[in-house]
Amino acid sequence: MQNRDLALDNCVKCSDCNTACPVLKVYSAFPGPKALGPDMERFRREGVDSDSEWVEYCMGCHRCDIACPHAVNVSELIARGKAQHKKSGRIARRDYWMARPSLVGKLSSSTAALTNVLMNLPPSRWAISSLVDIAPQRKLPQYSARPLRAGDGVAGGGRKALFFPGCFIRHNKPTVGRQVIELLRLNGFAVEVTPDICCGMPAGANGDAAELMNCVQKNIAAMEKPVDAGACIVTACTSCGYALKGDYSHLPSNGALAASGRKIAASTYDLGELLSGLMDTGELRADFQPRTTRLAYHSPCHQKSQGIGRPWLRLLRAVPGIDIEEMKVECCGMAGTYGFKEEKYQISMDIGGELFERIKAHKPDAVVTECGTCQLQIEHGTGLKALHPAEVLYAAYQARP
Amino acid sequence: MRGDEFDVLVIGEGLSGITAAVAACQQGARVILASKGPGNFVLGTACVDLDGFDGSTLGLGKCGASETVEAISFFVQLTATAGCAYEGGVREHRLVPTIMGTFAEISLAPRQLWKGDPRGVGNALVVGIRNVFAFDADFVAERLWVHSQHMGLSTSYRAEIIELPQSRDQRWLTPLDIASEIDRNSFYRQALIAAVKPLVQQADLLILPGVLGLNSSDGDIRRFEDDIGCAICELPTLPPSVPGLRILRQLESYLAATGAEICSGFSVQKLCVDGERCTGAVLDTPGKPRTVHADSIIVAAGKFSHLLEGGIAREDALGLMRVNQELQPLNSDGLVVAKNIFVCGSVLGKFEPRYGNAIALVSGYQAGMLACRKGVHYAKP
Repeated sequence: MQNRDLALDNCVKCSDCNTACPVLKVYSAFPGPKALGPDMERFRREGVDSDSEWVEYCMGCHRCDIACPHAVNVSELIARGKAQHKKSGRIARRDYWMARPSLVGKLSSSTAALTNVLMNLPPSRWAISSLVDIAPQRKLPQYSARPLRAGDGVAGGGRKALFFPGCFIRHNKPTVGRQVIELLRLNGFAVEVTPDICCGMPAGANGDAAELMNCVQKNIAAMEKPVDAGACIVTACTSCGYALKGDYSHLPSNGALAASGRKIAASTYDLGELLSGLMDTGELRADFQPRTTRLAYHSPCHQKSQGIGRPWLRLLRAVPGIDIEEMKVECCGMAGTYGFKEEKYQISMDIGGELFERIKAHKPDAVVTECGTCQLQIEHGTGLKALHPAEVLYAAYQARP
Repeated sequence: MRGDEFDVLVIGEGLSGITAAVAACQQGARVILASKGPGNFVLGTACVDLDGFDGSTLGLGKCGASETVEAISFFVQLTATAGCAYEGGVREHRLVPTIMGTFAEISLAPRQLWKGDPRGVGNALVVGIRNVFAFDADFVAERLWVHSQHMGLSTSYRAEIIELPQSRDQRWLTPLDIASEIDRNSFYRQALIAAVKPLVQQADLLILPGVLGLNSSDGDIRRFEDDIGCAICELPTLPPSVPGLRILRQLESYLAATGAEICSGFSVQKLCVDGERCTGAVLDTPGKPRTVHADSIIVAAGKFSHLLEGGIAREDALGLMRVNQELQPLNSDGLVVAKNIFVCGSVLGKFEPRYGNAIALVSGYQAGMLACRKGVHYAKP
């Protein structure tokens, strides 16, 4: 930790981080990552009162970290400011729930039919928006009555994969989760689904440091043993993937927990990363059925910050007939719970504008992106269907004339 | 082809790394460029000084006058194709204005800056934008006028301040804010044109702070000039410099279109050296490091890189590196460390700050060509 703390001194104020910030691009009043991160951190460390509402406007996309040529952990410094920020009662109540998608999922899944109706019925939808400041323009994601459960894995010999579906796939898109399990099984893995615990990313994004540590501890307790026994952790949501790889490898203090965190991080693979690795070694099943389709690919911010290239482009291009192009727009503007917040909705849509235009101009049959909330944003902004790449690959294995 | 195997790995995304990567791509190599972030040229003017430049005395390998000419014409061609054209050449020189109201003498510059030479300009108009900080049009115009008078020129400079739409909750804007608005909103572009057009009636040259969009290509800038009806010279401001960033973006997309993979954002932890051959490098990606394998490795990581530390001869306290005529790094016994490593950019030989960008271009081009030469490709174990 001490070593990373010194990274603050590497900041030479070049402002490369500001040039990469999606929020600053559309909202020039925003002070930007340099001011909120390394600049303000000097005051925070001295205990000078420097609390600012602006830290709440950071999306946590990590684009500033990627841009910094001097290895300053800019977004982590802003996250510290967020954790110290004092919110009003209303916003604090809303963010309490936003920090806990797993809890919301558990509550909603048990009464899915009712929840789904209430969430999008105008009067109750209006009540939700006005009581907890959720943007009324947003369609809320539907909850499944049959979320992914620990028993949904597949037994077998060979390699062991611990599938970490994340709250969105588990509760809102369990069908995608079941297809991921099938993709792993087809390629020689026995799969176990991890228990219903959030990765902690939404807690961090909503400034809830205690809940973040709670998630970290529970996940480490649940996954350490199978990892020690040789299982790899597989994520299909890029934000969960970044959390397990990046955040878990830099846990503060506590020696034993930090070491376990690094072990979890080193054993985590993005599904695309894992499968394209198999393709490299000739172990990926390639009995694909040709299918003619034109797809637009968006790489989520937390995909880019994993530094694994674009494995899904390679995988899907291996399927005969699939025409897939990367849109090369940096950010969709959703950033998990950010775009749902009423006061941030317009910023979120302004950021997404460039991507929406690029996609519409490409005229694809569907859009492909790994991140669940990027999918929601792209569907909201373009009216096109947005798929997880695993759905496309699964269909390529399954399609029989 | 495996996802992590390449012909050439270039480390560093400054002028030398990008030039090397493009040169290698054009030789038909499969290239990956890995960097922690952009080099320093995006922060400054990105001009190149070639007056009195002699690569052979600077330790740039086999670099005489003809190699310099070849490298410079390669770069001029590259930037023209990429949409961020440079003007000038080895024997040319121009006076380009700065935001401090001085003139700098250079040989090669981005086209927008090249146009700022006072010779041949009768009336120049310097336009500032209200509430945009770090560009004082009155100051720039007054000083440029004084300096051009001293040089015996009759160019006149006058200043005007324009207003552009601005939200109420904001006091100051940066050139980056204006450039982002121009990229996103066509009405903002129109507002700028409408504000400037009536002012340039008598002017031969319009001098602006660098604000004309981060994603604008040469063609987009030409359309601005057509719509305004006057030649434009854009001055790089304090970092972040919009013209510098624009060059970076155009070069990045050109490189990607040429087929290179760009992996930006992760430090290179170490080079993997096996005997007299380097097999690749380890990138500091989250969770577990990513290993990239390549037949040739170009180190263009800047003066302060820890790469190649230990076992490599350094010339002086700044840690500059000794290389042979083939740009291969040498150890303290003067022996080649690894035959397939090529070094270019500011870490080389006798670094002269004045020639920083010239060294980057000339050595970067050479390194790219050397890395693709027959004989450095080793049979895979």
